[in-house]
Amino acid sequence: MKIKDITIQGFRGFNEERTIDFHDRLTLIYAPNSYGKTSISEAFEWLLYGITSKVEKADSKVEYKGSYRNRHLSESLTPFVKATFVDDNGNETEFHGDLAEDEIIQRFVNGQEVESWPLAQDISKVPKPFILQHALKYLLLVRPDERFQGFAHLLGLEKLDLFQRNVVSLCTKPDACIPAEVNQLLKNISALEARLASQLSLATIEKAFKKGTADLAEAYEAVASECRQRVPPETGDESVLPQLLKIREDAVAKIFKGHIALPGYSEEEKHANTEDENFFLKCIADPFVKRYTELLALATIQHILERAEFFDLGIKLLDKTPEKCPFCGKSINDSLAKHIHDEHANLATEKNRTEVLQKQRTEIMELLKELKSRLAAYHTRQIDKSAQLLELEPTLGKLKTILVPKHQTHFNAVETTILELTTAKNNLETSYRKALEALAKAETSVTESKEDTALVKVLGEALVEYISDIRSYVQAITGKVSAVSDAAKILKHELDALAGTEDISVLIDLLEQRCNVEKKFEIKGILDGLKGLRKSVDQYVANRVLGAISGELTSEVMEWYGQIKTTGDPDVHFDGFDMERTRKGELKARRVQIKAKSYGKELVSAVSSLSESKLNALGLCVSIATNLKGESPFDFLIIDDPIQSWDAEHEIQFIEVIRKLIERGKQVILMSHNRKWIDMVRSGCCTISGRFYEITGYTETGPHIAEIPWVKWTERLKEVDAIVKDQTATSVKLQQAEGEIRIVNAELTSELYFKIKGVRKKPHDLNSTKVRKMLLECGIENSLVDRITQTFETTDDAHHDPVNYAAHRQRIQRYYSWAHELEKLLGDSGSV
Amino acid sequence: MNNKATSQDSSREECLDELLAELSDPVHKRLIQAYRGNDPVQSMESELGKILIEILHRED
Repeated sequence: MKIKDITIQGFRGFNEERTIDFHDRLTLIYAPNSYGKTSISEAFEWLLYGITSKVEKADSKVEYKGSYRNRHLSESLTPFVKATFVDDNGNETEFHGDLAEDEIIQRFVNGQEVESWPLAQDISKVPKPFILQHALKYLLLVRPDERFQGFAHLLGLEKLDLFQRNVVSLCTKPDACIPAEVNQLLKNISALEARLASQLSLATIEKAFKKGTADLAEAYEAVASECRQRVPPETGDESVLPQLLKIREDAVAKIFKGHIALPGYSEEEKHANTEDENFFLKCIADPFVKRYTELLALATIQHILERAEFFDLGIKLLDKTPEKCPFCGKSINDSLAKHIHDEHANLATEKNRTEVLQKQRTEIMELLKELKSRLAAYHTRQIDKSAQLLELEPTLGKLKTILVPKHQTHFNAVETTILELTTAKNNLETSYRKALEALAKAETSVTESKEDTALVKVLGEALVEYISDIRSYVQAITGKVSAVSDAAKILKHELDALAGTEDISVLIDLLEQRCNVEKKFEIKGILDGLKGLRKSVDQYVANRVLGAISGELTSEVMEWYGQIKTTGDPDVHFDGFDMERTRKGELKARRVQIKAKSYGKELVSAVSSLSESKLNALGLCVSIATNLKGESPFDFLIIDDPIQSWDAEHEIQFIEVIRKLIERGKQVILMSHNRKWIDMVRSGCCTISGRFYEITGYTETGPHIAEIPWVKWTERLKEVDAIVKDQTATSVKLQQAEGEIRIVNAELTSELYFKIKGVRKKPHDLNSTKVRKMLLECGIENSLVDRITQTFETTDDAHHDPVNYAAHRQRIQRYYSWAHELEKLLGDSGSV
Repeated sequence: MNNKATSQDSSREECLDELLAELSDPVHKRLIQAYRGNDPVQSMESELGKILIEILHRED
């Protein structure tokens, strides 16, 4: 696709809305420095990619924050860039980008908001259609890694570049990915290895261990051999470890008896604790209290039961003599008999309720029994946790002589822990006793049918207090586990040192930790093996990039470089791309080599050997070659100030490059601050139609852009005259002459119209209908209007030649004379 | 949008397939395979953690 026009408002150097129309082959824009020329290429970049390369490459994004919006734009207006693109079939699509909050681009296609531009190719994978001076700097004159990234970017290999960087990052710094428990294992085994290394008598084992995983079996044979030397000769294989443990224990016990140990709570233990605590709280919850209170009714029901027994007997006797009372003989009428039976039935109901409550009492008794039992087990479990450590309390003095002053901190940790846990344990025992007492009273009240709600309340309070104390105790233990564990290790080492059992201790640990040692070696093997993965990825990526740069890209860059090269140039030139290699011939990672030759001799690098102007030329050629390579949705190329630091000869050579780009189908938009050179380009490309803009000034409203006729019509007519007179002119040349006449007629019409009607119409937009209408409005005689209009017959409204077109010298000569007639009407005052 | 995602994915898949064919170490293969995830870096890092944990918890 090509660009038809761009409209910019409030973006970078543009404030008020400005529109620039582009020619489909070549558009030149001249502006002195700081007149907003680069803002045009930035507007295109931002519209297409949502970010400009200047911001993308900036070291400090903060410095560029807010730099897209023009400071002079009215607060009420939104900055935007919109461009009309034309595809191969002439279909137009408007891309509109609003600068939304946080400098994000809000995209619209033909007025409809979209998430991304509807392009056939992924534009992040094809070279950007821009050749920008500051971008060239990032390609060549940068550190090797940045150059590699630059080439990856140009070649559409950014994903590969990112992949390599990600893998390298993982392979060189895997520490963040190592889970904590794996790290703990590595730390423990490393400490064991350090102890092994400190034992001269175990040097054979250490040497074997250093060989790594492959020789781990050999290392353990050395361990077995050393163990055998330290146990009685008759010891069986399975008894070696117990024997070593005994030897060590006996030796150490002569110096200090006891162990520093404070086991933490495992997940299972934490779960069990929670289960028990939930049970305790359930026992004193509302449903329990309600059921307990209901038992109070049993006491009042007792006398009813006694009455019921009396009634049962009376009813039995009454059944025998229903007409009189069995006790006093008094006669009983029907009404009285009914009353007696009703009373008896009520008592039976009361009796049933009593049975339910008695069952309830039994259940409560069982519940209180279970509470007592679980409470005891739970309490024992907690007390056992600190038991071993607290047993050390009487021996703290001895412990101090061993650990202090060398390990004062560790001793303090043990001493403090014992002190804190003793207090916590005492609190716990007190609250446990209170809970047991309350529980016993509650049990007795149920057993003796002397239920009292106050007792249940006391039990509840006691249990809550106990659970609270338990939690403090558990917290105290958990907080000290690590410090006590460290102190335990230190004590072990000190005792081994004092008892002379350090080697035995190391051997014991090597045997007991064999499985973990093997795991450590395997894990280390994997972590060390990441270097191999890095190397594989480096080689793969380097080969991919080499494939992309060394063949086609090198020859294409060479071809373009040859275009710029002048005959007077010293023979010191770019000589292709490669990847740097090691002495062994392997490709170095992320090192693109830019080769150069001086009179046939290879130079170290083009970057260090070529002059700035040649490097500039090389950078341009790389950008051009990559832009012409492969599939891209863009048929245009925006070139911003390409000829910096060049001499006149190279500047002229580059005009040929522009012509060739246009011949290869590219729409070129060329910007420069060099008026002389831009005029040379215009003159060198005069046979190619184009548009020319000059930014004549710059104020806070933005750049003042004026369109200047591509070629003076007098020059065009001279060119046509020369072609028509040249009898050897080809049909292509004649066709070009006919096209030139139409351009002249459009420009003359536009100028006449401006002179007579005072309205400026763009010559580029005129066709036969518009020309006829305008000339008639200007009062030109009909016969000339007809003839001028006729010059447009061999073209269509889109300025294309019809399929059956054929160039005829005589016809073109006629057209030429009619154009002269129109020119005369303008007179000398109409000249440009 | 979909076209974009598909095109990027297919190119990445192609590269990963080529590289996987060149690798012989099963651990390396797993790590590169993990790069196919939606969050490639995170996915690769967590795969390495998983591999190490598997060794740690393995019962010999």
